[in-house]
Amino acid sequence: MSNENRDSPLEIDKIIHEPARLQIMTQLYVVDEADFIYLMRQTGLTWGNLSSHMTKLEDAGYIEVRKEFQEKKPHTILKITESGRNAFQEYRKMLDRVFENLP
Amino acid sequence: MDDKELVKTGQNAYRATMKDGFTEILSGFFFIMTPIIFIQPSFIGIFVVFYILFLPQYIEIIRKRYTYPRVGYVKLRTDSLDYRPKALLALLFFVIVSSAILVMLMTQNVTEYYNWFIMFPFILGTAMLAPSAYLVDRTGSRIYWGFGIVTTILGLIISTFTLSFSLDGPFDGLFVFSMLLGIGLLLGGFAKFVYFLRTNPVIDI
Repeated sequence: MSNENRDSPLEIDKIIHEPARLQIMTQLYVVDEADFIYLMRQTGLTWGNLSSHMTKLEDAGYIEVRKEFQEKKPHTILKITESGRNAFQEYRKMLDRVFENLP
Repeated sequence: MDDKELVKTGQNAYRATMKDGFTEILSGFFFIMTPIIFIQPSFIGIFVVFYILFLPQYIEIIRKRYTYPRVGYVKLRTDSLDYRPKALLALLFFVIVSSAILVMLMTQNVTEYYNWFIMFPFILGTAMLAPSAYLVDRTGSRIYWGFGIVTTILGLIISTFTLSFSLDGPFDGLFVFSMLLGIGLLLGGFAKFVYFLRTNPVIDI
């Protein structure tokens, strides 16, 4: 039984386990919602990069995206979903497990 | 990723919402209007309409135009506040005891209500240590202790002065204190807003 546990690979969420997406999820985890400009400034990602990762996270159901117009300019607001929040918490626990037996 | 890093990220988010100076401007208006309500309680209706209904909506309109295109929009989580009752009780105890000591030293009469009204600036000033502590905790920036320290000292000076040189009414000291604090916060807030506009260009995407 213990041999099985030691040999079985840890399943890390590959959607979150990407530096840019991890940054996005971290930022959204600690707030209620945020827009594109805020996330660009906090993560240092370009517009295109952020847009591409946003789509992946949205497809996974981890974030919801709301688009509106402010003074005729598009305004995109992102919010982490409940399943995204749970997935992020699981991801953190998994990372803790990876490092827990290290000297 | 440990909890400390998440806390830091949350503190960065909170600091981002305070960059434009509007927190100081709103607080300034509050302190300017408070003594007016003490003196003329009938103004409370105007206070409610202006401060609670009108001002926040107007600030939001200004933010959409000037703040969000520069630093982005973020809405903080509204989890239940950590009231830390023991700390608040300790602060309350400190305020009451210090006020009693001051009244005793200056007038030798702690039973006189008038003397306690005169202590309002000191009591209010020291009570500002609570929001200071809250801001230090939420932003991670110890500079916000300065607000509580300044208001405590200002309140102490005004209360002591009023106790020594009896003014016309018991609320005169509170009026001076609130006006000074309110005008200081308003001017500081506007200065912060101007600095914010100059150092944060609009992001064009």
